[in-house]
Amino acid sequence: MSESRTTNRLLRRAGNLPAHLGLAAVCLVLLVPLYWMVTTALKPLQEALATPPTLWPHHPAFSNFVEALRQAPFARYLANTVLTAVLTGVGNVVIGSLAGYALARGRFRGRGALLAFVLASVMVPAEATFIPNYVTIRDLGWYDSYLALVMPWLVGAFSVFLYRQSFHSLPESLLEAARLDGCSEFRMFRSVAFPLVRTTSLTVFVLSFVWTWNALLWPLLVTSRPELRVLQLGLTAFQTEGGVYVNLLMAATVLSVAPVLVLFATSQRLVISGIAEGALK
Amino acid sequence: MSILSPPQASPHAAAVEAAPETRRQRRRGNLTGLLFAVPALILLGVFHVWASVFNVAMSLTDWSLGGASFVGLRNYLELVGSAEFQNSLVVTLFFVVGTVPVTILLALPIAYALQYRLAKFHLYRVLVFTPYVVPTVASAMVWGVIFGSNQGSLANWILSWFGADPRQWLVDGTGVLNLLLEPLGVRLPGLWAGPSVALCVAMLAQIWHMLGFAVIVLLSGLAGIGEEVREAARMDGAGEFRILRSVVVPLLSPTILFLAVISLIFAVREFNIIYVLTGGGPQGSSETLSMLMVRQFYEDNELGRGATTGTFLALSVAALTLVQFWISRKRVHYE
Repeated sequence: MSESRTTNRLLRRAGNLPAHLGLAAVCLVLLVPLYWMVTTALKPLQEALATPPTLWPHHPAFSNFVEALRQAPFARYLANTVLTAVLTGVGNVVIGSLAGYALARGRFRGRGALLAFVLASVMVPAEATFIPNYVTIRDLGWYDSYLALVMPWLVGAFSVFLYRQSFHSLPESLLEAARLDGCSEFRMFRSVAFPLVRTTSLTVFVLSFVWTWNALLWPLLVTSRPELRVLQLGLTAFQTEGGVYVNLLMAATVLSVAPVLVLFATSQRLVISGIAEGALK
Repeated sequence: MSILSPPQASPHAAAVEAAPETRRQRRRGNLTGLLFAVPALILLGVFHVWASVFNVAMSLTDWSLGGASFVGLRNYLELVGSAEFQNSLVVTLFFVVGTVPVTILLALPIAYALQYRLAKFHLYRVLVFTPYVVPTVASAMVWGVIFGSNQGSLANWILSWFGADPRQWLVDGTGVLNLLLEPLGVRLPGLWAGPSVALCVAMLAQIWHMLGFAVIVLLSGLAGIGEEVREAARMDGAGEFRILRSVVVPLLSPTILFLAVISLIFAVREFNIIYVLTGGGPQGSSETLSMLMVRQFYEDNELGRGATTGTFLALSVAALTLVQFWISRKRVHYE
């Protein structure tokens, strides 16, 4: 009997073979650009431009990374990017949760206005507000500053919306108990409601963080000093200033992608579910 | 649940009303609510709502570095009549039509296999999703190297297997239909020749970027389809492909529709990939709406005209977003 069970299992596994082969092929094809990025980053210039191309670096040149870092301050770019991405992530969690809580739970003067603002902002893509926001930033005297990079994106309508949905679906009994204990509204938010929507906070943080991390156009429009460059902007500047040194360009690209991939590798379940949830709400 | 649904009276509101509430208490609740909302009100108000209004106002002026005066609808009339705007509309359409359906068609069998065949092999999901995590600026850089104009670039090397001459992919404005019709000696004029070679490279980069996202969204839809349905079809003697086509896809159609709309929005808004790969060229053959807007603003310093293009961009995305709301409300009803 145990023998037939083993055969069954083997048969089932064999049945999955085409699926395995297919998906392995898909994954291989999908990874080709990343493989090409890493191998080109490791080739000396002559090898990187050779015809036909070498399929792996025959003379690995790790000095490319040192050289790329010498030519442009990627550590500074990285620090700028982390700073702006963390600030917008935290901003969206704090400001978004407060507003979402107010929308879901309270009746207050200004509720209608907030709802209208959220609705209007969800509909208009950020790109379409870049030109007027550029003028606003300039008039506020924030051009070429961290404020310009962060302030407009400190809270997104989508974050408020996600929090409103989660707070709305909290069981009433939990909050009622706290209210009977004489909790203030803020205390109730901080100690009872906010901890209960942890997954939403993660989603909001991941989405805003990724959005800022990937932003290129906005930093391009509102900053000009090299010290304020974020990674994406620094990379495009490196491309135009660095000329034809593909190996150095790929080394710089590897440096800009590595933190994201490391982060993804350590928390992939969280990121995948966060992005899926963000898309589906 | 949709953002458009009216605020529902929660049981909590009823409870509060049942207890006699003093005016002071109510005023304090009023104030707390407002305090909670103030930061968002200010930030959304200035950088989103006011910005949208201001954008429309700017589009009615000839705003440039020299100053601004009211010109009414002149920008709109000139823009709609201009070749560059018509070009950018068609290019945007090419980009959207050339990426969204392909991505979804590729994602369907992958998601199906991941859900029903290889559910235990989480590594596949991670690998398929990885391109989406790579910042688009970086991935566009890599695609630019792969499609480099040197003889030894990966793309030109692969061409050489078929005995073809190396191409200058990213500065090639030839329409792909003209490439296909070349042996017949036929040449189609302008945009009739289809998307340029350069734009097609950008599309490839976009598909590579979006595939993992599409798979994850489809997987969440598949998770809602019960095993019994597939089992029943199998009992009736349906093969795996038949089940996918006649059972799973119809049940999944709300998710597919939703995915299509959200991918449309992403594609219309895409900037980084095109900016890094082609910068809108050659000869405007990859200049989408958002690329045109940035050029008018950033290079030509025509803020008024840029704002006009921005309004068109906003209107098209807003329309798509409304469709998306409508679908997500529908979706809930299916479940």
